[in-house]
Amino acid sequence: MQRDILSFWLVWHFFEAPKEIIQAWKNFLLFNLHYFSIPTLLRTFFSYWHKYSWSYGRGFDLKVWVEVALSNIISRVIGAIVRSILIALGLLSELSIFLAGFIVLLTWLLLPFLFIAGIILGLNLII
Amino acid sequence: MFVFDLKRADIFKRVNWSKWPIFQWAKSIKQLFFVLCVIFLLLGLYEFLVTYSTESSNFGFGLIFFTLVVAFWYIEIFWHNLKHSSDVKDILKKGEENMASVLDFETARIASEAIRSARSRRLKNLSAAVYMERAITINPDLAIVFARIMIDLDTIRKSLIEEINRQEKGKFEWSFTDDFQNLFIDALKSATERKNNLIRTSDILGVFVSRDVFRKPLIDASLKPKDVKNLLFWLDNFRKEQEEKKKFWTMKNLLKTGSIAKDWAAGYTVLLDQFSVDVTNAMRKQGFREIFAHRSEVETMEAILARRERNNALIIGESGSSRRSMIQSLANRSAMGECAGDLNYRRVVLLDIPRILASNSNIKESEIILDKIFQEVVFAENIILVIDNLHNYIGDVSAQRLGAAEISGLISSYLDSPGFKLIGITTYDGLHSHIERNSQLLSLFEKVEVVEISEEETIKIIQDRALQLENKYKILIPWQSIRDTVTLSAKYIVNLPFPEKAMGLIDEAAIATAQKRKKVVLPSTLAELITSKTQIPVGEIKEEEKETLLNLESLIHQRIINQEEAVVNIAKAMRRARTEITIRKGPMGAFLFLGPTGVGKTETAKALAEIYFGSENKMIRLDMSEFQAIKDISRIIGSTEENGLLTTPEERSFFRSVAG
Repeated sequence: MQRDILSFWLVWHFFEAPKEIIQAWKNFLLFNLHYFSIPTLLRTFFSYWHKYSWSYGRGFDLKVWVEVALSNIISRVIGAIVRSILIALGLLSELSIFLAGFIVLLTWLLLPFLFIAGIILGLNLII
Repeated sequence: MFVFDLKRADIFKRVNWSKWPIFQWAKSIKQLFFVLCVIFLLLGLYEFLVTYSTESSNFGFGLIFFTLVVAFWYIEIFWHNLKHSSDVKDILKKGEENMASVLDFETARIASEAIRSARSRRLKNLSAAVYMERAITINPDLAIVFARIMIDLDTIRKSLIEEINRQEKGKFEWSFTDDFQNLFIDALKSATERKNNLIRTSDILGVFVSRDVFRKPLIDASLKPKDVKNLLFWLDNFRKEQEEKKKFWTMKNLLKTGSIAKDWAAGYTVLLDQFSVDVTNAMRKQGFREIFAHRSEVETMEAILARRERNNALIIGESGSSRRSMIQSLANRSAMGECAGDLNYRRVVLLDIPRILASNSNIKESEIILDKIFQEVVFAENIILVIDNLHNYIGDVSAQRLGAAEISGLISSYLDSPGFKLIGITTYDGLHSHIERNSQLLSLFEKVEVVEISEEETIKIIQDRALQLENKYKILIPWQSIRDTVTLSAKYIVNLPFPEKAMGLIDEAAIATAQKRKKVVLPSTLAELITSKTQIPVGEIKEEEKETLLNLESLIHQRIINQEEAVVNIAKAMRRARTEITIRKGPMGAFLFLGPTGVGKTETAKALAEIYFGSENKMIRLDMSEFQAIKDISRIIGSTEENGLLTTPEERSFFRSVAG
């Protein structure tokens, strides 16, 4: 295949390189979910906090039952609260990665024009 | 049919473009503009602070230079891409169509330089010699390769130029000599075998080292073409790995960061943490570095651990066969999520039983702690427990040894439960004398036997080790030393397995070299180390020993009269063994002297022991009439109760003669 440098550049700038950037973007988005363990946290959302739980014991005693049930619920609630904080953080960073990737991609595509714009703006400032 | 058409090959266009000055200078220009940009921005800032006016032209210059910095950085990336992009899918088919289209950038660059060189030398054809001469001259990587095999590049270049001068002169007519064609056809084969989609310089040089030009230099450097090939491919892979590591945006590299909160649903293990080492954590601190040894064994181990029943693995292997690195490898793979589903994101924890035993005054208390720890492991649900030297804790309660105890009763009740995954590490000896006696316990384990790794695998490990040592001691470890480390340790260090013995040897050699303030770890250093350990002369033969070897017959005859046949044969065998003409396992020679009493059979053996091995004491003499009953065998080869007459002195130093 014969190509001149201009077509080679066009293919690289508008096709190959953006493909690479999108791939990296996708990697970061997936990795962020993995890093904050969001699927795991959702699956175990209402689990005990580090398995802290109490046994109801033998027989039935209303007072004990209420006490234990309350403690166990508290353990679950603490777990859910801490998990939701991390999930929120994870989603926040997911969103920022999404935006950052979008900006990088857009900047890359517009880069040749930005060069021209940068020079013109600079010249305007000088004159 | 050999086609080498530059005009139709995309890569040569790119080679030509990449020579444009704008690419060559891009980096320097970028740096220059960066400095200018910083200067003008600082000036502008200064002006702004002094006069409070933003209408300064300095910011304008700053912006222009900033734009230019980015622009030249962009050009640099584009240049890099010119070199590395490739659209070759099927290298064999494309190579047959047009060999020039399957070259990588560097080989293509050398080819275009070679054609220019053939033109300026007024050669009719392009030959392999012209190509290689250019390759050696303009490719900096080859200089590194040759430094590592201690071959002087200039001698090679001189002999190549001599060969070029003998070639047919005339107008260059775009034809290629047979050796050039063969060079590329073989290189194509080599690239295909390595599953590369382009021919690399290493493929070409790998083929070229078996040519005549290299014969003498290789012999002088005591190398075979295969050695150079190994080195080339290793350096190639190493460089490729370094490149891969730089690409922080690939999934593999991102995953090395690890993850958080995977263990939030798992229980705390307070007591266990107190008496254990967290292997996963240790590996995380090392950045999950890759571990090569025992790949298939690690996979077997994972398969066992992932099962619902009998999910305990027993790793059996001699100490030093890097059984611990299997654990590290497992911890790595689990933390990165590469294992089979259930094993991912588990903590691999090495239980320190001796510490539990030491911290308590009696065994009962230790047992209680151990039981609690095991309960924690089951409760936490994300632990893979490892016990090193398991044989110390099974059976044999009578022997009161420090750091040993009997826990088989305690442990077997847990081994059954699916949430309890245990890896025991033991030796063959420990397995037979302790664990096998408790068949009920053994049935709860699945065995993973770790065989000593092969010499080829050891070479890979030693190569990695060599790079670390080079960094640490600022020395160079040439390929010959890496190779000799493995062959010498295989031959002369008997009581340790690979890779341990080779690692020990190269470490010692590196330290010895650094202490003598030398820069290169020579093969002779390794030979000296082996000699000082075993008293066996290895490596290059010194003057004194040479005298002895050459005159062995007459030296023996000073004590023995006649017996020509025996003496000649002994001398031949010694010389053959010492010069390593034939590499053989077993003794250097085995002789049967027959004859009546008093003709000098024993005396010949004594003479050999004294002359070559240094002293008559180096001889072990077994009077076979003493060993006629079967029960006498243990007196020769030794048993657990007594030392063997033959084997015990042999283990200490096995450079001696045996007569019977």
